[in-house]
Amino acid sequence: MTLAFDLRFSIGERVLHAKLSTSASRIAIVGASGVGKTTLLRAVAGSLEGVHGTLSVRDVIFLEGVEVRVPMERRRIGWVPQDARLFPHLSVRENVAFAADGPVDHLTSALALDRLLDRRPGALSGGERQRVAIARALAARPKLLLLDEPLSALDRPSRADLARVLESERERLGALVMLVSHDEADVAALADEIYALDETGTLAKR
Amino acid sequence: MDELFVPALLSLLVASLGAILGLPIAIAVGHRLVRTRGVMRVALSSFVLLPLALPPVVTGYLLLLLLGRRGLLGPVLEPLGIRIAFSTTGAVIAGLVVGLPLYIVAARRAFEEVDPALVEVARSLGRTRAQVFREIELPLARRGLAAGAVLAFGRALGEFGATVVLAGDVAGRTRTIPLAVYAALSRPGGEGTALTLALVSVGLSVLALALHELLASARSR
Repeated sequence: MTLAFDLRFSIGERVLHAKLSTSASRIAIVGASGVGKTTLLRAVAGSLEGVHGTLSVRDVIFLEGVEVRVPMERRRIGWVPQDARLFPHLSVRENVAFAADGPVDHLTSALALDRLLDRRPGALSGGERQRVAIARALAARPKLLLLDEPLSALDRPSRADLARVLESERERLGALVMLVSHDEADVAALADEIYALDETGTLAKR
Repeated sequence: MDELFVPALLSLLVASLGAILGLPIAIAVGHRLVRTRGVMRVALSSFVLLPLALPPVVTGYLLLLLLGRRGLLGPVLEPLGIRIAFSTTGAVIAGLVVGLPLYIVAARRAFEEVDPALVEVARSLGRTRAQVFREIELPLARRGLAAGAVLAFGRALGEFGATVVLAGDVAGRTRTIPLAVYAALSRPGGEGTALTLALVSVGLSVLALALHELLASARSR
């Protein structure tokens, strides 16, 4: 199995039980707004409190019961959060290099960031911020890419370009993808298996 | 002239040292308050904010009971050569303690304003809690901390009651502007000195508050 989890967590009063076991490298989670897709990503990332169950990535156990075997900072995650969440006090260059493990020139040029390197996030458009967030995540050479609406602020042609960059980098890194998206085209471009999440946490394969 | 310059310089020294020495305390307690919940938060918060509600004379008296020669920690401080009574050290401690609540409240607000999602992302990118604190939270809170430092500085400038009780009124050592104003008013013909010192005090306070306002508005932009 590339990714397997059986997790219980809560959103306010609502308890979710999410279970999945797959050998696909790229999965997408779809579902209504507010159902808990982002929270599920946070549970997998390890940043959500009160999660229990099991979680393993490529047979490495991250979580067992309530015992965190691999803490968040050692999970080799490349997280592209909704709204990019760039570090506002760092330049584009510093954001991309934040967790870089080696040179990042190929990423900044593939993502068309070269002329933005000295800017701060506050001076970027929504689409530019998303491209920086993607570069920052890929620069960490992750083994698991958590993509939360990663292309939502981009126009259609840029989305297709960026999806191609993401896919070629993912392949090079041998990373798994867990994508959350509302966009059918993004899901088709970035995922092989699609799961619909409902309010109880049940994941139904489409 | 010494009647004017020495208290003014001493006030600046006492208030500056209070702001500098208070910084690590404000950072540590302010950051802790953001992460603490429930009863612990109420307890910690009430304890650190106490000097804000207490009459400064009472704060000074409690500090004397703790740090004075015959105080709880007196036997520890004396062999180390640390004297609180009638010393500038005592004036600095009094100024620091009365300024701390404002400092801590400002620090707590500054840390609360840091987007928790940034902390999560930094952690997911391999940073430990301590690294995230140093690289993300502290730099993002710096304007709020600076605003807190200015407030604490301003509060220490005006400190009277705790200073008199803890450190006494000694010209050149503990006689800051407020104490010098009181001393000048207590002797015949001292009104002129008192008025000049009062004007200096107003000037310094206005400067500190203007700086605080500038920092606060720069932060909200």
